[in-house]
Amino acid sequence: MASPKVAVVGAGVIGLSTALCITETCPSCSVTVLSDQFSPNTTSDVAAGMLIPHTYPDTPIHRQRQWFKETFTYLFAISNSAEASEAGIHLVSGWQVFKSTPREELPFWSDIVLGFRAMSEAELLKFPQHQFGQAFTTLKCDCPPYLLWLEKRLKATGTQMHTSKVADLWELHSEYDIVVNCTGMGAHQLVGDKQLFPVRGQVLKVHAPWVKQFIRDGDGLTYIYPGIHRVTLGGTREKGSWSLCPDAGTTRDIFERCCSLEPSLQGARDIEVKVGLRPSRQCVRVQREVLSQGGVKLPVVHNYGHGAGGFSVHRGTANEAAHLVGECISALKSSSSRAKL
Amino acid sequence: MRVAVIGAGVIGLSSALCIHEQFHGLVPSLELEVYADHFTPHTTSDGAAGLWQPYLSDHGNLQETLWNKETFDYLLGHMHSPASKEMGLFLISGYNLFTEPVPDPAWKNIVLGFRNLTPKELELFPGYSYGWFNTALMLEGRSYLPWLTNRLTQRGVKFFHKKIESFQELFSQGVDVVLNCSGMRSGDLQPDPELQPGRGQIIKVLAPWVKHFIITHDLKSGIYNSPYIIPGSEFTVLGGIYQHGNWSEENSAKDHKSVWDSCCRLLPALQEARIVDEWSGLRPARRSVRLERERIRLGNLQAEVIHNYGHGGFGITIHWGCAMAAARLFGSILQEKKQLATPPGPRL
Repeated sequence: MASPKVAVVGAGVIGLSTALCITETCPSCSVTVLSDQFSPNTTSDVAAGMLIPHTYPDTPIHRQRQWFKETFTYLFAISNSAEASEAGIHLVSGWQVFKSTPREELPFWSDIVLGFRAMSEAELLKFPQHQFGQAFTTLKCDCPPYLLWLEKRLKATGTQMHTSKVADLWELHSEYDIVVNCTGMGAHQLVGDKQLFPVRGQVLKVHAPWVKQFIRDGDGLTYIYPGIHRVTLGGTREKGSWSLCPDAGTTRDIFERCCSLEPSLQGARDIEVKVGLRPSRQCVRVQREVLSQGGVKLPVVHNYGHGAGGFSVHRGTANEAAHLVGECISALKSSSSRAKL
Repeated sequence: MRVAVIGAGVIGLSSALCIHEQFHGLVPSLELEVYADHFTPHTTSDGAAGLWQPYLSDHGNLQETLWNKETFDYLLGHMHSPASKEMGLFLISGYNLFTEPVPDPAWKNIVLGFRNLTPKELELFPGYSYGWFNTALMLEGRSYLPWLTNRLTQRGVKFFHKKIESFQELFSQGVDVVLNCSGMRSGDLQPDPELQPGRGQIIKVLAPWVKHFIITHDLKSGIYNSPYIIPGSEFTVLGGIYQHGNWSEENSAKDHKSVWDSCCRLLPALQEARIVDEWSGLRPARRSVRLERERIRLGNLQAEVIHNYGHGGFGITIHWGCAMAAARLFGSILQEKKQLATPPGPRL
């Protein structure tokens, strides 16, 4: 197998970063990205792209930590380079505040972000309803810029990108040797994964360029994340809701909650409302599978179910998925050489 | 009681507001006037980036440290109000970078969350081996000065677009007290060899991905002679020029190159930033701020001048503390003139 043909289904942050990792670990592969949506119409484009991990209940912590560390290290290097503004990667400092002191004062990622420490009394005065807080500096991936930058890097390696709706992975078996499933919420339908469920998030993207600090309520429901051109105000976490329609009452509620954390937001302009469905799962599915139908085998690598934490772990899971693609290639090579005996 | 303020930069306008707030209720005859040849957006205060940060050392000048603290606390108190946006006031965090360990600054407990930089953070800044991180405030002159002007106009304070040539000029018109907030040009009103320009040149760029201030220090070159990057609400200011004794307000190509090259070395992504403006200004530098009363004899008149100038590169940082001090001096003048039964403040 001189040049394995790999199809990556999905062009959000997971699909694009996985495709890029595959071109890096397997330069002889020919990679094609297939998706019904590309930036700016992916779920990733709705997200703020903050590197603050979400904890997956059933993924071992050391694995989540490893994914986050790899992702943070990768983006840290980009943020420090001349490409930072094109890639949409920038550092941002701020606070996570809690109405009551959390059980776990030191999250597993506290030593990976920069300068993590408890907030001082003086800092907490700004948040009269909150008793405890954490101050740190982390990274933000602004979309569309980050996705467009990934697309540009992919095109430079010769990766093809096609708009196409894949209704069944078997559609791809004649043209491709390996399929990589990065379909996010689409995996519910595409591979019938009933463990995957949407967690609806509505956000506001506003013009408020004087907001330089992020503020997040530890309950995860209210957050203010300053991006390059817009500030993302959030949000909601509606488990099981499939609606992509913005809700006006929710918009007012989000705005009020954010203004109570940061009163100057009253002066925000150009409010844009967006909705995304976090493709949620008890554990992220990064896994190899060989599909079988009528004697034909199709190697599949799954990389989906990142829920609220896609950006935080994307590069780590992409590396792992690329590694699994490598294993698929080895398996194909050894089975084809066995066939020659 | 006619009070004339000379100068409409941050010092003049804030002193005027402070005095009017404190005394207009107690002195019904109080008439406040502001005279200046430059108003916002053409004052020195408009050119400043607006970052609250004193110099590294207060040289034992505890008074100035206290005024800095008063200003920070006053501004922080306004952070809860929706007016903060109109004032051009917002929180910002950032980095101070050094090539060697230095003692903590006098203002370490005034700002929020002051700490040393971690080794990983220092990786962002090759060539610098030590530094601080803290959260401070930005107060953009281009918003703050109009905001002060609006507050003053609402209070009936009158503005005159006029270059005052001498204190006499105002006293002969019947002004009782003059507040000299004329910054760099104070020497034209009364010679002061201690007042010297600290020329600066800045480049304004569009770099909205920069969310932190970054100020480098070269202890041998002195303050502001090392690159700094300060993101505002619209533009990011690149600077790093401090030329003592240079009166030129013309942009210099050599200084442009020095600022541009050194800032791009600090933040490589700046190479992609679009330059939108360039400006040179004169910091009204003095060994210490001149904030004091002076009695001038004019014939048989006792004319009162309150000097409030010489704030160098920390005018915005110290302005409110100085305005309050100027108001206290004004209060003592009123007492002496028997315009006030007792000084303002809590009655025993």
